[in-house]
Amino acid sequence: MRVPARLDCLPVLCATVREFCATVPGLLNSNDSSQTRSATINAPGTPSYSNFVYSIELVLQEAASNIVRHGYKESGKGFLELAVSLPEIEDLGGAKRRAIVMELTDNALPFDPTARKVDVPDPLNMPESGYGLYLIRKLTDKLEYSRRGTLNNLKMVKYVH
Amino acid sequence: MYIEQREIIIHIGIIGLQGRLDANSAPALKDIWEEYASRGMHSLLVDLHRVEFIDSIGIATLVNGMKQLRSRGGDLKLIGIQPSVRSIFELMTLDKVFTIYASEEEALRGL
Repeated sequence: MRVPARLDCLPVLCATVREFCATVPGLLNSNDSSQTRSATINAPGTPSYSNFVYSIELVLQEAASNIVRHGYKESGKGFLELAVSLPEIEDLGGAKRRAIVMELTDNALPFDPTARKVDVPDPLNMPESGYGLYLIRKLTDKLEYSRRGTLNNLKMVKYVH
Repeated sequence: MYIEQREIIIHIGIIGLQGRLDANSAPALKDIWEEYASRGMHSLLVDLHRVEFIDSIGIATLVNGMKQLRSRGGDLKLIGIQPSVRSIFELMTLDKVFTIYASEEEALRGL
């Protein structure tokens, strides 16, 4: 899926990954994340989805928001392309595990989020930006960045179980 | 994002939000903090029970509002935060910074 690089287009990307998760049996309403407490959202008029799916959506939102605000400087020009998949990949221990893999591609300025130092949040001295990277790092199992020609590619991996 | 504003007690307002509180919608809240400050409001209750998604910019905007009001002797308190949103607040230790109520009734009893 490709959308214009604008903040108002990010909900479309998030909906795409949420819909993808809905196709994975047991994922939308399961609460199996090891990093967040078990709970489901079930507010009136809102979809019911698990902490796992919320985490996935938040990681995507933060990554895409950084690209739009910092990479494209909110120029309204450029694009964001998202590919989502559910491959089996090896974890650090060599075991094969299913994972949600999101790949974001853009042609903005080069930006490697894996190279940045990330501070632990200080709630009372919270700047308006900077904690997106903390959330991305905290809520993913693997993060890979590459630059090919004029394109940035960010691969975000989160194991399903 | 849909924003509903009410003044429930003199100098205490309540704001009900609905939808996504994110980098795209959060700037509208900054204007509200300014407006409440200019009207001499001491405290705000922000009802989040119909907010299904908050990102780091949305969170930072709530923190800024809280800091503005606390600097004037007031506070910004949260109502009805969804469990998944709460898990992110916990990850960022914000649950120890904000006063969070389950319902508007509980918040009013706590005033």
